[in-house]
Amino acid sequence: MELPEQLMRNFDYRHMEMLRAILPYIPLSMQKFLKIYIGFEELSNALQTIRNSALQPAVGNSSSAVTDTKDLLQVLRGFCTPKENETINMVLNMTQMMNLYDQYKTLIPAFPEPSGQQPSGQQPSPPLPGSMDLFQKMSSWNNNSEIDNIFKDYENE
Amino acid sequence: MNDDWMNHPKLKQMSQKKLNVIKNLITQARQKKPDEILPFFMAVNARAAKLGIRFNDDETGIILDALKENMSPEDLGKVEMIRNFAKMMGNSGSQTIK
Repeated sequence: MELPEQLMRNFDYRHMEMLRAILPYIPLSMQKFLKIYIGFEELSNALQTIRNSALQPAVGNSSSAVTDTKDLLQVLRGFCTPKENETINMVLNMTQMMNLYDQYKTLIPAFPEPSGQQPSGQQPSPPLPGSMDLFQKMSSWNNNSEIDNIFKDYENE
Repeated sequence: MNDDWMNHPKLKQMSQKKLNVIKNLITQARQKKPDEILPFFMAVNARAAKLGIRFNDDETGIILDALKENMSPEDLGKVEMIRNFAKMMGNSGSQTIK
């Protein structure tokens, strides 16, 4: 593995661990959002890894692999046990999520990678757009009088 | 500003105290810049949780619908994505693909 790629993976891993570390310290209602964000980022990293490895010659001709996966799984379902079918359903649900992600990407402009962290010849891993930025902006409202005012009536009663 | 959200049937069963919080939240959020609305909403949500106020899915939906017209397209995309994922996660246990 080339050094820049290793650095990138370490960066992603550290980022994920930071997000996970935050989880127990935030309100339950926000944990739902953050857990979805973490899962989403893990999915996007996994997708990027799979897509990159599919381009390597050792894997063979995989140009239609992504589009054929759904059909393949549908065929396999007929030969599987109920428990195996559950796993296939999960994979198909993941495929639906990937489609949603593709739709989502069209709505969010690409975030440039920090210079020096992008391995040459490799597509940039789609980062979770604005996840940390969103939490930073959210934190900036802590102890803000505007938010105090929203709950003024509630707290006074 | 569209105030149709105030006529939502789910709000009729809500306590006046909680309704006031939602009214204040929407009023203040609408005065924010488009890219400030989502973080502001999340910050209010966090404060509400500290005070023991929970917004269920219906209430969150009403609030976000009321704020959608003022949000930036980027944040709107995030909100829709989170909603879709939350729906899929909610349905994944019972969903059968035929």
